[in-house]
Formats: sequence, C-alpha cells, structure tokens
Amino acid sequence: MSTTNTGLTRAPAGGAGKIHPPGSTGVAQSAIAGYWQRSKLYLVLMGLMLPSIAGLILFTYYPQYGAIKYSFFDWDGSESREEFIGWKNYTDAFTVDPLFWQSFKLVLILLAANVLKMWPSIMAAIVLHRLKSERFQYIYRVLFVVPMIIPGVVSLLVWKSFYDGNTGALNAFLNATGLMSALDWLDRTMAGDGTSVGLVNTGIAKAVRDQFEIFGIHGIWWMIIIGVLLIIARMISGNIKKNRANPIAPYLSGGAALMIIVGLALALVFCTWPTRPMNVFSMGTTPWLGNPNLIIPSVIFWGFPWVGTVGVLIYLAGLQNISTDVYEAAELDGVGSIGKFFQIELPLIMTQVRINLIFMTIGTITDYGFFLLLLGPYGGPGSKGMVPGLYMYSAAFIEQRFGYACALGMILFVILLSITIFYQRYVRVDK
Amino acid sequence: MSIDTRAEKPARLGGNLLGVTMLVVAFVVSLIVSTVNTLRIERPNETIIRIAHWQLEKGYREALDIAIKEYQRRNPGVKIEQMGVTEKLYNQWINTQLISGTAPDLCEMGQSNMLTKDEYTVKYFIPLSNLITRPNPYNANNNLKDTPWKETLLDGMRGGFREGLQEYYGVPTTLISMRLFVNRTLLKQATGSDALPETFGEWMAQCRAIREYAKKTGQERSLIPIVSCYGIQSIKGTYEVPFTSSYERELDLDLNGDVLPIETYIGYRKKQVTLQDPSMQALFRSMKMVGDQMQLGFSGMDRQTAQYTFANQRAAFLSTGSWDASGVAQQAETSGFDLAVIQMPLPAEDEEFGAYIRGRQNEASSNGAGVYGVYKNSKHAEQALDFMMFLTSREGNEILNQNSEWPPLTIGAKPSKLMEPFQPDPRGYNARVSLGFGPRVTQVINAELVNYFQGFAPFSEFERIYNEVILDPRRGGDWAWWNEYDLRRRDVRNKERVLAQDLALELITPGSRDPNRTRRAVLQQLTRYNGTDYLWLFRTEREADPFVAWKDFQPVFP
Repeated sequence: MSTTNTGLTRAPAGGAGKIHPPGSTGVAQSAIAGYWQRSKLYLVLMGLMLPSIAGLILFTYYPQYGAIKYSFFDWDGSESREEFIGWKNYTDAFTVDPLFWQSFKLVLILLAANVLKMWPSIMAAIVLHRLKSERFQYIYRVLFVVPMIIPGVVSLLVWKSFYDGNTGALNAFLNATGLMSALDWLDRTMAGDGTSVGLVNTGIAKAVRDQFEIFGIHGIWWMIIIGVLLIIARMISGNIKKNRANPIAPYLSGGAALMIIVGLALALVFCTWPTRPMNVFSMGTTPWLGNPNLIIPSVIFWGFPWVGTVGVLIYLAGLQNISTDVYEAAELDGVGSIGKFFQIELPLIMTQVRINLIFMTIGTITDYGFFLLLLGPYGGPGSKGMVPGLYMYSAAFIEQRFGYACALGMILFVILLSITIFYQRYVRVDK
Repeated sequence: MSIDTRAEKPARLGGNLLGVTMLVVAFVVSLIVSTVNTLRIERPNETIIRIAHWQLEKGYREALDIAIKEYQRRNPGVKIEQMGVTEKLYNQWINTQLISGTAPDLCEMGQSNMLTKDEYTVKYFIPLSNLITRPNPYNANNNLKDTPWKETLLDGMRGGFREGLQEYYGVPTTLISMRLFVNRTLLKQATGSDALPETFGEWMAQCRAIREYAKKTGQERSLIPIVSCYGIQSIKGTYEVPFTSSYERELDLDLNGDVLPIETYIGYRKKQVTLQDPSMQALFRSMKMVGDQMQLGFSGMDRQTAQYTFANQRAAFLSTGSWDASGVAQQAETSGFDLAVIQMPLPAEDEEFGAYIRGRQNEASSNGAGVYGVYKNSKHAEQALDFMMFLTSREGNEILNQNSEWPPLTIGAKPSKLMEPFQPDPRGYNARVSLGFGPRVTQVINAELVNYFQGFAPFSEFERIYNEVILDPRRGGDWAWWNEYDLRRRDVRNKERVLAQDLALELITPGSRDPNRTRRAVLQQLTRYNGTDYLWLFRTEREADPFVAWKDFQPVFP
C-alpha cells in the first residue's frame, strides 16, 4: 500500500471499498480500514473548520439565543432589572404599542418602492450585456465597480447634503429646471390654496378617505388584501395545475393587478397626500428631511437612479450564462429587442432576481442605520421615518428596555421567515 | 447486499495546502496580535489607562493629548489612550461596553441612562466621596495646596454628585454654557448697524430686517437669520427657566428649588400647569417666532451644516455651546468676519412676552461638565483617579481648557480670551417646567413639537398628541412613574444585599468588612426611602392606589 504525504493509506486494491456480508472478516477489515482512512481525512477537514464553526456559534448563534431568552424578560441591559415576565413583551407589542405597527406602514411602502427600484439595475445589466463592443463592456463594468470603494455611510452623508434646503443639489436642480414651480403647482392643486379646495378636499376624496370602511377596516386595505389573496390563489392554482392549462389564471392575475393598482392609486391620491398645502415649494428651499410630509418621498428617492453595482454585476453574470444560440434562434423567429427581454433574458435571470428580492426584503425590514443617520433616533419630525429596526434600537438604547427590544426583534424574525418561505415556495424560477 | 464504497478516492490535501497555510497564518497572526495587546495592558511595568468621551469638537482631543503628554512626562510608566466616540453612537457604544465589562477606565458621563441614572451609576462606577476630601497633590505649588480637592472646583464638584445616592461618582473638568454667536459684519451689512441685540424684540426685529435684506439682494434662498447646532430644543431650553420658573411655588413639592419631570407631571394632571397657560403659550409662541427666523424645515439641518452655514456667512446668528467656540472662532477668522458672543436676549418688560419673564437662568448653579467616572472594574482605578486629579489641578485644567478653548473649572485657572463671555452668570432662577416625563413622552415632544415650531402643524395637533401620550395609562406618565419606582426599589434591594453580605462577612471574619462600603450602603438605602416617596406621592397627588394603576406593569414590588 502506498502512503500519501498526509499519512493516509490508500485502500487495498481488488475488493477495496466493498463491504461484504458478515463472515468475510478479511475483506470487512480492509473495508473498515478504508472507511477509517476517509474518516481521518474528514476529521482533519472538520478540525480546520472548527474555529469558524466556533466563531459562528459564539458570535452569531449565541447572541440569537440571548435575544430569544431575553425577549421573555423585563431586562434593562444590566443585572438591576432582569425579571422573567413570560409573554408580556409580546402582548405589549401587539396591544399597547401602536408606534411599532405604524412603523410597518413605512416598511410596506418601502418594500413596494424597492421592488420597483430593482428594475433600473436589471435594465442596466441588460444594456451592458447587449453592448457589442467588449472593450466598452469592460469599461462600463469598471465604471460601475469604482463607486463600490465609497463607504455606504459616506454616500449617505453626501445624499443628506443633497437634501439640504438651502445648499442642497436637489433644490438647485429643481429650481434651475423649473420643476420646483411644477411641484408648487401640484401642491396647490392637490391640497388647495385658499382660492380652491384642492383635489384631496373634494367630496369624493373625503368620502374615500373618511367613509370608505368595511367592518372597521378601510376599503383601500380591503382592495389590497383581496389583490394579495388573488395573487396567492393564482400561485396555488398554478402549483395545482402544474403543466396543464389553467383557465382561471388570467382572471386571477388581472383581478389582482386591478385591485392592487387601483387601491394604491386611491391611497396615494386621497389618503397619503396632505389635506393642507405644504407651502414649501414656492421659496425654492424645500426641506426634504425637515417636513414630515416629504420624509417618505425623500427616503424612496434616495439613491436615484437606483442602479446598484452589486445588483448589476449579479444580473450581468446571469446574463452571460445565456448561450448565443438562444439569441440566434430568437432572431430567426423574428423576436425583437423587447421580446428578447421578456422571453429570454428576464426568465433566465430570475434566479438572481429572486435572490436579490429576498435580500432586498430582509434589508428593508431590518435596516435602521440608514434612518438613524438620516433622521435621528426619533425618525425625524412626526416620527414619519420610524421603521421597525429603528424602533427596536430606540427601545433598547434610549428607553433602556432591552427585553422588549428583543421581543420586537423576534417578531421581525418571524415576519421575515414567513416572507422568505413564501418567496421560496411561490416565487418560482421556471427554466 | 453489498455497498460499493469504491467511488471516492481519498482526497489529497496537497492541492489545498495554500488554503490551509493561509488559514493557519491568519490564526497565528491574530493570536499574536491579541496576545501582544493583552500583554500591553497587563505589563507590570507599564500602566495603560483608557479614557473615552464624545467630545470630537475641534481642539478638545488635541488639548487632552497635550494634558496627557504632560501627565505622562510626570509619571513615566503610565500611558493614557484617548478614545473619541462620535456623539450619535456614544450611548450605544458605552452601554455595550458597560454590559460586557470592557468599559474604559475613565468614561465621560452622559448620553446614556447607564451613565446618568443613579441605579446604573452605582453599579458601574466607583464612589469618590472618601477620595475627594483630601487635597489635590498636583496643587502643591499654588494656594490650593491645602484645600480639599472638591473645593478646588468652581462648582464644588457638584457636576459629579448624585443627589439620590448622596455620593460623588464623577469628576467634572469644565464648564459649559449656551450662547448666541453673532456675525457682526453680516449684521451691519443687512441692518445698517452692528449693535448687538439686547432684548428678544430687538433680536427678532434684526432677524426680520435680515430677511428683508435677503429678499432685496436675491439671497432669499441662501441667507438665514438664525441657525442652531442643536435645533430649536436647545434654544427653548435656555428660555424655559425665564418663562416657567414662576411655577416653582406650585410644582416644587420637595422644595429643593427645582421642578422635576415627575413634579411637572403631577402638576399637569392637577391642571396646575397646562399647555394653554399664558406663560406656557408665551414660551411656545416666542419659540415659534424664533423658528420662523430659522431655515424652513430646520429639523433636517444637523450640527455640522449649521456651523458650515454660519462660517460661510449665510447666517447671522448661531446658537451653540462653549464647546464649539474654538471652532467657530477659527472659522470666523478664516472667513474674515467679526464675531461676537452674547447671551440669549430676553424680552424686555414692555415687549410682547415681557410680562411673563421672571428672570434669567442662574448659571452659577450649573454643575461642571466633561464629567468622567472611574469604571468599577478598572484594573488601574487609582492611577485613573490620579490622572483626574492632574486634569483638575490648576495647571492641568489650564492646559486642558486653554488649549481646547473651553471654560476652566478649577478655581484660579485662567480662561482664554475667547472664553470670557462664557463665564457663568450667577443671576437668576433655577426651576423650569419639564414636560418630558418618560421616554415615550420625550419622543413625542422631540418629534411633534418641532412640527409646530417649523410651521408644519398647528399647536393643537401637538397638544392633542401630547395629551394622548402623557395621559395614556400604559405608555405615559403613569408608566414612567412606575418605572422610576421600580428602579428605585431594585436599587434599595441591591443595597440590602450589600448590607447582608457585609453583615455575613463580619460574622464570619470580624473586622473584614469595609466600613466605608457599609456606610455608603446605609446612607443610600436611607435616602432612597425604599421608593415609598413615589408611592406616597401617587396616593396623595394622583389620589389613586398605585398598585391598582400599575397592575399591568410587572413586576411590582409590594
């Protein structure tokens, strides 16, 4: 038998690796010897992994265990107050604390906005992929990567300066292009200016806003809930029917789209627009982070044109796996550029899209550093920028209620887990 | 049945040797670095002391470095490392350090409940009362050489004193005060005169004139009368005593000359003070007038932007504290404008709000700031304390405060010329109405009141939300009351444990207990009243049974 430089012995030739029925002790012994040699290798490999596993347990799983444990405690971070209170933190979160659930409203808005904000990265990757010149492809790829060296915090602070009322680049741009006047006109048209009541103060708008309730829940929420249920029904029926024709699918999809789009449009126009004019555009010094009605649009607009380097590179990697034969076949069939996008490129990068969707959802729900730096620990004026993560931070470090913050964290975890399972199961990638 | 296991050959590690080597090298390097760092701290012939603070303003770190170098020169073998942590994150950072037991030897006290609330202070920091009654050896060369250390400071070291604990837990190093910085050059340009405003009415008139000037010269968007490093809350803080100290007679239940948030809450519930009272309305309306002269949506302006705006001569008045004076003065010199510093002007008797002004805030009762506490688990507590002695000696305090251009705290220490306007004004009153009782209520005030001051919401909106929260039995004042009582009871329970331990030690080994520790625990236990003052106040002032009102808050000590 020969030995490798690791000291392991090679299995004996002939009959090696075969485990024979009991009774054949010689062959069994050689099989066991072979198994032991492989086990030694695995032991070495496990030994090398052990520090990483230990670190993972110590620095990732142990704190998670601590969070679960302390979510059942009234804990102020020290030994002064560490009392077991059972489910009280959870019941408080659900019954006593409206601010926590209000913070989810902003998250829902941001989730919807961030789904739309994924598209510029996809478009940029498609355009990059279709460039005929490899040299220019390379140049643009490098140009996309260069901004990655800028730390996220620096980028955030630069954007904060963009939003400054007096010296910000955004106001300068809007003033120079006349768009500020357009915003002022919109503000007066929607909310009125003393000479008119404004669109959001008409009888219809008031009826939609104040009287459109069914069983105590606003009608617009009902529309969105129904839309989401129709989407789920569409996905489930798609799973049941598998490859067979699904006659109700178009109706479910269409119904869902109608409910959600109309619901969101009504919400945007009649329910979210302030009923009093903001009067912040006429001077040209709009306080994007200082006016409670402008915080959400500012947060959504942050990062324009929303072409993220990492996203572009991930999609580009997926696109480069598409064989040129597919494109040639498409051209032979007379498929145009848009057809290629919807029928070839988009379906084939859905794996990457799904992964980014999951990470985007997790990031949107858990992020708080962005809001802390941009708006402060209270979420800006009127706490309009309060998100669940920031609220958790505030509960722990400002109110000194670490146990309650752990419970909020566990609730966020359950919500995220449910969403991830939903994505995994129903956001399918059909190759 | 046989199982074919021939499929895999034993894997060879040779191809992976590079990866293994890199992993091993990385671990060895990190082990070496950790060991060296640990040995540095543990090295018997070198003492390393860490001092943490959030004062990242221009000049402070450099000044502290100079003081550190001088101390190290006098004490070879001692090394002091400064740890500056940004103010926004100091709270979070120090909480984590204290909980994990890795806090620096000297921590600046503030920003966090762990550093400001008595119940936590007593847990994490060393009491200093016995140590500060001896003279400071670093004053041996001046007329303070026989004076007890605490008496050598202008505030008698009150900045580090904890009323509830009847103990000193920190050493202050400087004085702070809020002032109004004035760009006289711009003022003259805009109004025709660089006379400094002496009354609130004059100040507002100058601001309106600046607005007019900005409109005439096409600088409407860029020229602002007032900017503030800390928003309008800091300006309001300076006006609260003048407008609301008259409530002292009704609200000061313990007659200590100050109105605590709980006393304000009691008065609010009994309608002894309401948001619609004339003097309260005068305060809010005057602050609204100030807000009108600030940038539209000023809550989005942070400290750096405010300073930048003032330094670039796009604002005539800047509200900030003495800690920014050095930086602002240098910026004024660079930009070439004439800088003045004044106190916030109060309304004159014949002006709109003059009838509600009782008097200015008494700054002589201000306690010292830049307070450093000695961490209980510090391995070099004595050395750390020695450094604080040096820093608060006349010479050390001059080094620190003249180089940082902050007001000195030690008696006889000369301030820099820039600091002369910041010397405390001893005239005035102390009491103020404090509407923020409890973290949730404070959050509402910070988030909603600013909307009114910015002109984005009417006062009635703030009043509605404030009443909703403060009177909410589960989130408002009653919860904050229970929280204070609960913390107090736990603290007393901890003192009882300490006393029980001391008694047990004395029984086992007579003479082994620390009499100072026992004395402190007894004194603190007595002055904490077992929390019964909170119960008594609730029964008499809220006229309700606290244990019925607090039944939903667990646990409650009977």
